[in-house]
This record gives sequence, C-alpha cells and structure tokens, in this order.
Amino acid sequence: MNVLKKAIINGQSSLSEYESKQILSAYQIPVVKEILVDNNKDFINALKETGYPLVLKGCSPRITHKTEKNLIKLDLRNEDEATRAYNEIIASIDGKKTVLVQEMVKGTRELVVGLTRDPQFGPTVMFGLGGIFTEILKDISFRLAPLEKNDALDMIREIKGHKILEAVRGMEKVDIDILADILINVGKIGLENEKINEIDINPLIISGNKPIAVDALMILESNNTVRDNTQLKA
Amino acid sequence: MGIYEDLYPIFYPESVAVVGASNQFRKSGFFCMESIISRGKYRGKIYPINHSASEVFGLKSYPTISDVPDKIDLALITVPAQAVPGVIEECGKCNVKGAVIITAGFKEVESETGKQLQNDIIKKANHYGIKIIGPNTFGVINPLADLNASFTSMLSDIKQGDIAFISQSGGMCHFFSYITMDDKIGLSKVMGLGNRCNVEFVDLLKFLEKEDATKVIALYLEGIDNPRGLYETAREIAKNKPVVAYKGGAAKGMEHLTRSHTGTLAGSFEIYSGMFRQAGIALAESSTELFDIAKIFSLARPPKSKNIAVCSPIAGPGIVMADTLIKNRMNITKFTDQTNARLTKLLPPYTFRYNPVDMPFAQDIETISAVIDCVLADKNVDSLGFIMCQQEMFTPLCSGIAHALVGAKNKYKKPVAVAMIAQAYKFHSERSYLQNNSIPVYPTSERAARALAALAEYGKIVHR
Repeated sequence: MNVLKKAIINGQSSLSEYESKQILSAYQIPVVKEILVDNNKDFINALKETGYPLVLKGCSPRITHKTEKNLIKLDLRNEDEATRAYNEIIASIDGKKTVLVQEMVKGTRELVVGLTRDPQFGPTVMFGLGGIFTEILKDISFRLAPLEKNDALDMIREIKGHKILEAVRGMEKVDIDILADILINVGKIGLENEKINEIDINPLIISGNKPIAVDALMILESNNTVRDNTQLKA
Repeated sequence: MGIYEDLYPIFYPESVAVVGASNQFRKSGFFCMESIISRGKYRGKIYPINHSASEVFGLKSYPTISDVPDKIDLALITVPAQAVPGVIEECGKCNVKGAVIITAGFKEVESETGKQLQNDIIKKANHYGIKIIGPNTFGVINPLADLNASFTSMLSDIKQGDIAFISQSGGMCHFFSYITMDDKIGLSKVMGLGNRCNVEFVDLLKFLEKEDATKVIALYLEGIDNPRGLYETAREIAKNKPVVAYKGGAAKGMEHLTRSHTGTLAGSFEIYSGMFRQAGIALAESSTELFDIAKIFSLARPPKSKNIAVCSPIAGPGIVMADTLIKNRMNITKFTDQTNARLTKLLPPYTFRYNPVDMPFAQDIETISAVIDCVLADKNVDSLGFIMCQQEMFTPLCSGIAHALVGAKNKYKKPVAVAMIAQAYKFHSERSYLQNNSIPVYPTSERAARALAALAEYGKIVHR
C-alpha cells in the first residue's frame, strides 16, 4: 500500500484524514467524495466539482482532533461562504496548508467503527453509536479480527441503540449487509497492515440507507508516539 | 501423542504415588491421603512415599518413588518446594506419566528462588515428557474415576455428572463443588490449574472436548497465558459443547498509550466480553451465575428461539422474571389467538391472562396443568420460565405441578426452568424430581431468567 509506505518513510505517526480514507477505499469501505487542495486555483475547481452544500476541513497528518481546533467548516452553501471558510482554515493551520473539499453527507444517524490492537488478542474491531456521543454513551461492542459475517451481524445487534438501524421515525432501514462488510474489512486492514495501530471511522454516517465514512483517522505504530501524544490530544 | 493421551493418566491413573504421604494430622500429605483413601472411593493402586515411615494410613510406604516395584501413572506431590525438582527428576526416571503438585512456594511468591524452582521443574518435566498440574493447586478431582487427588477430602462426595470445572483458583473450585453438591448436580472434573507449568487452559479444553462424558465446560479465569489460543479453541469446542466462563481479576495490560477514540474505549473487560460472545462462550457475571448457567446447560437442551413464556401464581416474581428476560434480550412472546382463547376459558378474568400469565386463581391441579400444556403447545413459545411458591394454597399442588411441567416439557420438547419461591429445605422431593427430569430449579426469578437467556443464546450456535 503506497500511502502507508510513504507515511512510514516520512516518519508520520498517523495518517491524515485523506490518506486514511484512501486506505479505507482500497478495502471497499465507502467514503465521502472529497478533493485535497493546497492552492487557490485547485480550490475553486474543487468547489465546482463538488457542488453545494459542502464541507471544508484542514487536513494534515499532524491534525487528529479537528473540531477542537476549529478546522472544520460545515454546510457551506456558496462560493463566498466557502472562500471565507477556506481563508480562516488556512490561517489556523500550522505547517503545510492543505484543505479537504468534501461533499456534505446528510444523515442524522452517526455510527463509529474502529480498530485497536489489544496486547492480548491482537487486532480488535469496535462498533457503536458515533458522532459526539461516542465517548459519553459508550454504547459499543468489540470482536476480534478476523470477523465472520455472523460475528459482524452479532456485534451490530449487541449495542443497546441497535434499533436506530431499523426503519424508525421516517428513516430507512439501514443496509446491514454493507455495514457488516465494513466491520469485516476494518478487521482485515488490521490483520494485513501491522503498522496501523488504531483506526477511528467517526462518524460513519447513514445516508439514506447506506453507511458512508465521513471522517477517519489512522494511528501508526511509531516510536514517536510518546512525544506527539500531548500535542495531538490537545 | 495428542494432548488427550498425554493427560489421560492424570485423570484416569491406574496407580497413584502420594509423595510426602503422612500420618501426621495438619500436613497436606495427611489430607491428600485422607482424600484418596479414607473418604475416597479410588480403586486403583495407592503408594505412599515417605522417607521414614514404614506404613502410612495402613498402607506399606516407600522411601522414594524408585523403590516402588510397580509402574506409577500419577504422582501427587506434597513435599516442600525445594524437594520438588528432585522428585520430578525421579518421576522422569521411573516413567511416571503425570504429576499434580500441591506444594506452594514457586512463581507465586516474591522471592527469586520460587521462580527458579518453577523453571527447574518445567525444564525437567518437559525433558521427560511429564505433564504437570500445579504447583500451588488444591488438586484435581475426577468423579468419573472416583479419584480425589486433592487436599480436601469432603470433595470425594461430589456426584458423577457431565459438567467439568477448570479454574485458576482452588478457592473457586471449592465454591463450585459445594454449590453443586448441595444442589445434587454431578460433575465430571474439578481442577485447579495453579501456576501452570506445562498444562494450561487450552490443553484442558482440548482434553475435555475429546472426553465424551463431559458435556458442559465451566471456566474460572483471571489472566490467560495464551489468550488467542483460548479464543480459537473455545470457539471450536462451543459448536459441540457449551462453555460458560467467569472472569475475575482487575484489568491489566491496557496501560499502553492510545490516541484514538477506539483505543480509549477499549477496556480489557469490553474486549473480553466481546471475545467470549464471539467464541460462543456464555459470560457469567458472578460465581453463582457460573453455576446456574452450567447447570441449565447440563440439564436442558437449547430452545429454537428467544421466544419465551412466563407463568406465575404470584405477580411480583413473574414480573421480575419477565424484566430480567427482556434485559437479557429474550422475547416475551405474543401467544397465538388459539392460546389466548384457551387461557380465557381456563382462567377467571381477574388477572392478566396473556404473557406473562398471572395465575393466582388457578387453584386446582387440572386447571394449572391445562394452562402449562396450552402455553407450551403454543408455536410462538420455545421455552418457559415457571414460578412455584410455598404458600398454603399452592403447597399441596406443588408435586402435581412438577409432574405437569415434566409431562408438558417432554411432550413439546421445549426447555423449562423453575424459580422456587420457598425456604431452602422445603420441596426436597419436587426439586429432585424436576432436576432429575431436566428442569433446573433456582431460588430466585432473576437467576432462572439469566440461565434461560444463556441457554437461548447458546441455541443460536446450535441451531445456526
């Protein structure tokens, strides 16, 4: 995997959102449509290609918690709004000024899918309610990789809030097959790429009836972890 | 040789040498002799080994293992820690097949000598191909071979049965043994693994998988030597034999740095519980529940689905049972119209006649039997939780109710569990009758409900 190799050679301790999603895509995990730009001309072209409303995000492997740093601008409805937001983001980024132009995915149901390397059991997949409630509700389940289809379906049903995946309040029933495949494939990423230590896909938004990865983060195995830790969690 | 053949002589020895056998009360060599001889029913040959005595417990005693003019399958070792490596060396030279080392003072102590002694034992045992249970264990009991190779002679009274209990702790072995003895449930093995030299959980799981007489495996674990191996082995076994586990011990090993949400949320308990579910192992939340679930696995066959009915002569325990079932993902099923019509005829309109069925006004055995039959006949019902009660109106009916439950369970082949709201010493014959006929009896609604839910959860694997 080129993205991963490059990141390791560059001494990165994590992958940027954009790089993380390239790996997800390579494992058939549906990701939001997005374009990475680092200059004004490409930015204007990207706006045209993406259409409105759209989302802008500061993007670099040095940034892991974007919300806290005010590097995400949602629901931009025209070129004026987008340009103003772009300039604000550029001003707040330290280092390389790259910005993701992203389609705005609509959906009220947000999930989280993750991977961790348990010191005893190895790569372990997590599933749960996503978005801002993940760490508050802790409605999550774990399975060891590799996952079989049954394991994936069972871990989906295990969370308390699993009923939000059904046809409720005028929302469509979620395509559980795709969701299960995402869990299986995240496990596969863990098994096939030892250098990837942790993965967060949060949120995985349900758009219509289909899950789509809107934000993603991959932490790499690195000797620099300790040094970087304080900065990244800030 | 496979692990089954390797461990067989430990559980089914034709001869046992008790190294450190003693006539002196309070020595562990005394208690071990008592377990195996006085109170025990072991029919193989017993050779006490004692440096000075000529007879121990009335049996001819030998100064060392090499002095015994016979082959020895199992050495039960109780001599002080420093003497153990020498004994193992001798066992190896005399072709002893396995050893249970009761002696403490090895890896579990703070001093370096303990660790060195243990490494010494492992080296010698592996060199001679001797399998070791322990050291620092209370022992091994195989009721199927009438063998009590432990320092607790009371445990010779364990009934033969089909539940094997493997534990990291000897104390939990005692708990599990006593609760099963009091409830007249049989066991096929009880063993404390102690410090685990060259026999660990995975090996014993593989042995028990092959032993037909063991139908249920109950585990008490703290740390695990080979977690991934345990997961993979248990997952295979659980397809054929139900496994229930209780995990003790504080979370360890998760102090590694983490920077993602997933890493922060992944506590060791959450991952263990995910692993247990994935392997198809029922996860007990207390030591009593470990027994409750093992018992229902041993007695009852798993239902086809999670659709369950609850019947109670007293409202509260019925409601609590339904609550607990729902919390544990069971489905308090809707009866068919036909069942509802029959219940409406059978029961007066003063109570709730749907599910859970409240039946305080059914005070003759004909009506109660008809209600039980009609509920279990319902195609939407795959198992039943029933509450019996010590109360002047119902007490005379209890024996009849027990018969009706057994009859209907056999007729419809659906599992039933009973919560007996009564004093512990009452309804002795009803309890035995029910459990002898594959209906487990529990002292509370919640315990019956949790067991029924675990059984239905296991049904998902069996009927997959």
